[in-house]
Amino acid sequence: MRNRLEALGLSNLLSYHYDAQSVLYSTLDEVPASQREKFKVYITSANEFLANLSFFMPHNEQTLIVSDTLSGDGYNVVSPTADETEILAKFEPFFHETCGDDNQIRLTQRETMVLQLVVEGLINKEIADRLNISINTVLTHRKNISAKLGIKSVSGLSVYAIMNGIVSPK
Amino acid sequence: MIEIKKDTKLHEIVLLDPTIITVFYRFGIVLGLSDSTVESICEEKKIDIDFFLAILNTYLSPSYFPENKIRNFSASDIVNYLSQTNVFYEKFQIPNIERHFGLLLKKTESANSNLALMMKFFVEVKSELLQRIYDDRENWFPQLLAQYSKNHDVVLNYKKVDESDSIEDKIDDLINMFVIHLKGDYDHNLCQAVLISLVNFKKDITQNNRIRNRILKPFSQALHIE
Repeated sequence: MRNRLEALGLSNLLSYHYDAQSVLYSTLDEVPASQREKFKVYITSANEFLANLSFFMPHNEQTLIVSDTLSGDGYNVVSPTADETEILAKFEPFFHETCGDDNQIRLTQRETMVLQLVVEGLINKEIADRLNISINTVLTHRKNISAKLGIKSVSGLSVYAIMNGIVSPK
Repeated sequence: MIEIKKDTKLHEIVLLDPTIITVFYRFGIVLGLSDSTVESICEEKKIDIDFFLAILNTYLSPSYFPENKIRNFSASDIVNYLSQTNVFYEKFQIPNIERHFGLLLKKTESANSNLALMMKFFVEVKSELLQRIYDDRENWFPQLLAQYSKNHDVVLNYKKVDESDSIEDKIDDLINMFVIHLKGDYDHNLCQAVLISLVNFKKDITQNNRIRNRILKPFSQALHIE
């Protein structure tokens, strides 16, 4: 990352949205050799990526480059100036935490929280306020939930949530 | 999907898509179709052939929308058809799904709470649909016919985009619950019967909504009915 503040912001965002734990390093050289292979996801700047192609290219599928200039062809690139919804959509495939067993449809923990609030009867604005996110992000989560589950209506989502122990029956 | 024409044989249409028999029933046409064509059955049953063709083709093809022909249909023909459709839902299709669902719950040996929840969800969809049928019968259709009898000269702005519909969405949800999310023990044959009846019902409701929203609602708006 370009600076400490940006790195901390990213770390908090990952923790808040995906319950992901992150370790911050200024450069790849700072990462102990014994630890380098142990991370599920690498988020780096374009400069650091280009300076360490021999490491990042074999880990391309796990690497997300934060850059305004690098083209996305063949790489996973997220722009730091994109809006929140777009940034989260880029992170989504990397931090796909499962809720439930392996055979279940995968909802991220954030989507599960949104689902619980939808079932509680909250409208999008209330969900956004409760989770401290924008309405657009709520809409994105809802769209993803419906696409994953094949369920659109609030009543249908309630039945799904009860069936899967996400909420308790009233 | 082929376009049904005047000389198309009715049995060929049913063999093409057997669910269309539910549409035939609404025009008083029953199985044992012999060699009847669209034209011959319309003559025999005194059915407006253009209207019948429009309904059949709308049912079979989601993209079919004969705007020029529809301009000549009367609101009363459309109301009459949709009333018959409502009766069919109320008297046959909903009880049929309920019967299969009830048997499925009864025959499922261990208590499967998921199926009970899904049945409860179906009851909610049923109530919403019955309420809509009641509103159609008691309010919307009589008002529309009363206004239409005073003023046949209405300019219609047809909608070509289908709106999202709560009942359709919920039936879709229920179908996906069976197909994607069903767990636990259940009678496979009865489950299949419920699923097929729901899929047929969804197809019918979608077609019915297309006629309601694309054709009858523009009539209603032109006649300034809320």
